[in-house]
Amino acid sequence: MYDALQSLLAPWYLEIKFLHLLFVGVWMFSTSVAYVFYLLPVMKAWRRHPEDAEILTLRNWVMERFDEGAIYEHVAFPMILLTGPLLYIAGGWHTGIDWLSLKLLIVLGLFLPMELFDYYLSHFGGNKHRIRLSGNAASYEEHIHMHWMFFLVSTPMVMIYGVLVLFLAITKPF
Amino acid sequence: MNEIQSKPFVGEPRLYRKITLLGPVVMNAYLYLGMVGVVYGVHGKTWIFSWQPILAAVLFTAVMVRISFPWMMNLDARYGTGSGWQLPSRQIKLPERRLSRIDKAQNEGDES
Repeated sequence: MYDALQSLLAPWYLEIKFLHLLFVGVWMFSTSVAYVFYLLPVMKAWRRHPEDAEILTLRNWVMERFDEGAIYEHVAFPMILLTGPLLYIAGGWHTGIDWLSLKLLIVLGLFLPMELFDYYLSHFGGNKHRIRLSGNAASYEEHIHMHWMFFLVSTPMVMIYGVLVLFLAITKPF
Repeated sequence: MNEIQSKPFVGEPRLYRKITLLGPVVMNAYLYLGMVGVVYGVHGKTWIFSWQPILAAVLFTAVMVRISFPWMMNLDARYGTGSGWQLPSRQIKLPERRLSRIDKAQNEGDES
């Protein structure tokens, strides 16, 4: 079964790799400009002036827009999880390839749980737009705070391990 | 809903110090032990116990701990960029998504 699948996929290795890299690019960078140049200045202004009503309005708006802006990232991630195993099979990769093992440990141990929480915050129970429509002001504020804490904790981790994963995939150092 | 509502954010430097110390230590310990499991446990290779990967893991963790705290403090406007911004007050309209049919139905259900 595995051999048959490998024979079927092997001729398409480069095409699958192209799709994988395309989605990795979308996943890594699609929210970067919005995050650095729109979300961050507003959130920093809020942290410096937490009671300013105009900044609060803008903070809420920018967070709601960012929830929606994360759609590209969150479409790309499942595509990475789909094309990754296809590449693994097509390329005849195995766990004896050490750089790949490290990369998979990072993806499964860090990026996967982080993204699952991000899906919740952006599109499911933590979606700010939907919470605002429900009229639950306390939950709205709580989820804005939760999302901001998530950004604070995840930003250094994503930047460092995201670059490391790219480095491992491209240079295959060991 | 009263849109303008705020309560104090729980983030503070002591918490950030803890997170930026524990995060890299736990993450890199997980990665090293995971690699031990795969490289030695599954494939019986012993290079993972040599001094180079151990040193690399320790140095990588130390660098992460060193840079993560100021990074997080910067993000949270505790210091660094952001202090030079002006806050001009403007009255504007913000574009909002229209209510979807599902949201409308849900809203009407909540009100009734």
